[in-house]
Amino acid sequence: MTSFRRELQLVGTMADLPRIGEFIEGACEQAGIAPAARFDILMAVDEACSNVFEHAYCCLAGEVHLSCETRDEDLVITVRDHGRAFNPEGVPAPDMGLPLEERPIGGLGLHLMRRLMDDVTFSFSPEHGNLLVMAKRGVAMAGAPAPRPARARKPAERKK
Amino acid sequence: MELSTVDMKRCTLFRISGRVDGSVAPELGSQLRSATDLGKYKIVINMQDVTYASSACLRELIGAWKTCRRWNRGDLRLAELNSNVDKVLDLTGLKSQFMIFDTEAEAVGSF
Repeated sequence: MTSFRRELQLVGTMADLPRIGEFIEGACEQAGIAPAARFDILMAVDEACSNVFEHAYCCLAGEVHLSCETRDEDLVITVRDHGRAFNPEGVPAPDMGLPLEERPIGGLGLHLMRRLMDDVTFSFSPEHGNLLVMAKRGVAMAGAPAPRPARARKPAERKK
Repeated sequence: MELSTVDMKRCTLFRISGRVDGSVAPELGSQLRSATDLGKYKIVINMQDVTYASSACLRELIGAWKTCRRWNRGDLRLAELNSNVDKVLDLTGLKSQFMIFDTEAEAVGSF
């Protein structure tokens, strides 16, 4: 059952990462996500979107669609783009046993996403592009998203 | 991200603050290269006020660390990590690779 859902669609570049971070931060707060988990979620989404802008769109502006929703006690994030197909198998996991001098630079973003989230799944279709689904288990207060801040009332219209 | 540099007697001190994500990490790399291009291979980075450090930030730190340590001519050392930066370094196995100090004074004094 989905009890909370927020979406963000933008045509952006790396410069939009802070804006994406603000969106996720706000969504986590509204969804009542446990504070201890928010940093992990923020970082995983930032790394995912960095990869999209850098690799899928080769640092040119491109369209990204993000959704953030709760399913019972889980938080599920999706990131969709229409850039180059991403194959996670082509990114070797960093070898933590190697001294830093011998370690290739790269692959850290994907490694962090996998460490920070409980499920990370990539798929690609020519029609719908790249789809990344990430889940963090047991971090949402089931069925009880935090109330949204009250909106300022508009002044009553005068009757003519 | 905000960054300031102080030339100390035995090393160069960088103080970084704010969010270091993929949009600003290249600027950090460029500033570090400016130092190493001038032959400053003994570097301390105070990360106390870094609110967020992405993998792009780590890539720049690793690149500069390798440049500094080549031919045993120097090192890049970290100081005053906050819990967020500490966690990211831990998850990427970098905590055991960088020399890390609790205080800026200790890091500077280590050279």
